[in-house]
Amino acid sequence: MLEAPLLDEQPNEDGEAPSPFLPGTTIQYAWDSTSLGWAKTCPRLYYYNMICGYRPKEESVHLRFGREYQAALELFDRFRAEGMDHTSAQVRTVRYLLKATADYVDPHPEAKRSVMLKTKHNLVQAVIHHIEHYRDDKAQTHIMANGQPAVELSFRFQLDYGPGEATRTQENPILQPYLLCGHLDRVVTFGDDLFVMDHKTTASTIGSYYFERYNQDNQMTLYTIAGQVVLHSPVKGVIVDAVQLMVKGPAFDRGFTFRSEDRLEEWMDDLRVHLRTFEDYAAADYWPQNDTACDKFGGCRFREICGRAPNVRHHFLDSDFVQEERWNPLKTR
Amino acid sequence: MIQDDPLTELWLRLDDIGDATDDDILTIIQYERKHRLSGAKAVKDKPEPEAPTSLRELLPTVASKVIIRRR
Repeated sequence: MLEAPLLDEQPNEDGEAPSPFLPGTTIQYAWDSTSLGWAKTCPRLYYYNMICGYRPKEESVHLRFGREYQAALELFDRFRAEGMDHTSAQVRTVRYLLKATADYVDPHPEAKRSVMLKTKHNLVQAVIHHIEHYRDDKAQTHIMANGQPAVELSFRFQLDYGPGEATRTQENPILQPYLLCGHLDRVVTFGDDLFVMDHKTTASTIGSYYFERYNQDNQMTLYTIAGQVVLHSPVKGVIVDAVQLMVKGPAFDRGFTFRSEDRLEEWMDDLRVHLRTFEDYAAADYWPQNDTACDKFGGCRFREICGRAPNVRHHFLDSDFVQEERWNPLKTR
Repeated sequence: MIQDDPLTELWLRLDDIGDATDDDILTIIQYERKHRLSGAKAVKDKPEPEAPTSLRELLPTVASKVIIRRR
């Protein structure tokens, strides 16, 4: 067994996050639910997103809207958990949001509906209405053993195994365990139980059909495990706190998704097999298409690309997508 | 989008949104309180979980090191 120090997982002097890949390879050792979801769905989807960094041109609107919405609600929860009265917390939260979104560029009014609804006005309105809607919330922010409210919790924990021996050489002897990373918006007590709460924004109708998808969901399972690891307490599952954006204003609903212990254990067992498979793809530098996933969730963003001849795909990728900084699970918010 | 609401008015009036007063923001909040959708759904009662969950036994196999950071 080769012995070597672990890779440094902390930001460097410039505040840049370290790479989630083993040096000089595309073998990813630090995983979050986003990258794991891409790889599980389709290796080629993962390759285009995670290795190449291709993003649809309109995606930045969704990311920015969701990020600002979550950040504002987390701030409000923190103010309230620290004892601030409701109205003062709301005023300070809205003030923060107005400043944070000073450079927010509204989508084109003729963009598709799911994009067009993500305006700055609708963002501020959604935050105010959410706070009003849950004024007498049964879900209360959990106070951790250190006295701090359980909001804005970034987590990282390492597994007791890492990328396999087959890829380890004398020249590349780093013995790096896999890391699971992510960010919990909030942990709440509901009744006598603990739940992770995760905020979702959507233009879809938020009925039972919307919430059922989360009963078999990679992110929600990982968040349940992470909540239990971070808090050393049994977390029952995730409350999906959804806002539906509409022209007439936002509507809200919540869904519960539970995870039993045996399902969590099975997920961890499955993960070990998945990670080994992903490592094989990286070692071979070959990312096969899963053509049974192309029409899921309204259609894969790369569906048209994969329909092109292999030798011309890069031309269409370069014209239809932007290549941005690669997604990095080790990047802190 | 509503064109004459206090939020839009504020954006039009101020060059720097940081100059907004608490009264400006309260006016926006009060306006939105009045105009919330009356049909917004109530908080659900908690359904029963499918099985009791305790990860005590799982923890040692899941994590040997935990790092928690706060912003």
